[in-house]
Amino acid sequence: MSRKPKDTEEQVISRVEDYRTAAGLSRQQLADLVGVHYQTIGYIERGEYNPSLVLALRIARALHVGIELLFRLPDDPDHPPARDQAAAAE
Amino acid sequence: VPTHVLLVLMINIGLLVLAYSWIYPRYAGNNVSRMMLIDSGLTSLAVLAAGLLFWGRGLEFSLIGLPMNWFFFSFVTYFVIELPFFLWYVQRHGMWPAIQGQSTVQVQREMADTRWDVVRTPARQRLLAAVTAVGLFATPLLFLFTPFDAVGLLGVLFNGVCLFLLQRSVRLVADAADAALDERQLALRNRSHHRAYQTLSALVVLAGLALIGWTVAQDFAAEESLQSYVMNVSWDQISALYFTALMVTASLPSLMLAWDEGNRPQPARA
Repeated sequence: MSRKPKDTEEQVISRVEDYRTAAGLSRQQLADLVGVHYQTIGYIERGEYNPSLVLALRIARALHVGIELLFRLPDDPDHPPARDQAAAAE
Repeated sequence: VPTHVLLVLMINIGLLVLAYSWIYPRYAGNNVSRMMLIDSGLTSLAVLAAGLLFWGRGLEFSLIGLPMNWFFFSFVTYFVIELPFFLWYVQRHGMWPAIQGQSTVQVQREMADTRWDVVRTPARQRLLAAVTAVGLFATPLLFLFTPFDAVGLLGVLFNGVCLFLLQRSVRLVADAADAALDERQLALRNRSHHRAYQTLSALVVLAGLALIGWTVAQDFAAEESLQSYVMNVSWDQISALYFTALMVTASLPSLMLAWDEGNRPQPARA
């Protein structure tokens, strides 16, 4: 697959804000936990910045969720939150 | 080599050896600002020593065939001899990050500082970038078309205020060292420098073409000959060129970043 130009690169659907608010954290608190500026968290939540894999993994670890629950491509099916999956399995 | 030339060189070398073996390690450490302050004092001391020895004696100094008086010879040779000492010291004390960009501490302080939020809204960032760009073009005109250099320097002062506000507007990100930034800010800084370089390249090429055209036109008008071109440059023109180059290169990265950031609202802290 050829490399897409940066300005037409796909946006990632982010659910960081949902999980962050569920965890009771502010942007500043999450930013401090993962070592970035709070604005970077804001841009990730708005889907205006795609984090590196390392940063995505750090965010997932800070929020205690799998990375696949935090980010998905626009044409991928949405995952239900992890707790719903666990409830469905029971 | 004439004795008076050797004497100035010996004074400079002696001062520099003393500075880099004892004064800087003891009183500056790896603090760039303190080092610059002490350096100003030591450079003045070297020039003062040359002045005490050679003021009014009419002795001529020469540097690579260029005749000059004791002041410029002392000043220039001090600077040239100091350069390898300085590079060695900076390397030894790990000071490159602080010299290459705003230090981590400065940037972190700026990131948390809300006093300048007034210039961080998208509309104001774009306005500030536009005003700065107009100021950068106006300053050389002030040097060229006003009778006193002081008027041009007011333009430089205005450019300086714009630069200060621009840097606060983008939280020093465009001028920060790598270690002070997170991955998104690093990408922003790199993009702004890339765009600044492209813009600067275009400006240099256009300015060069304008200079060529102007020189040809002037010479043709004076001599009615296209065989040789002579360009006389006045002090006002040199000032205009110097201060324009200085302020444009200093301002462009922050200006580009402020303009780009001005197209979207910034996320809140909470």
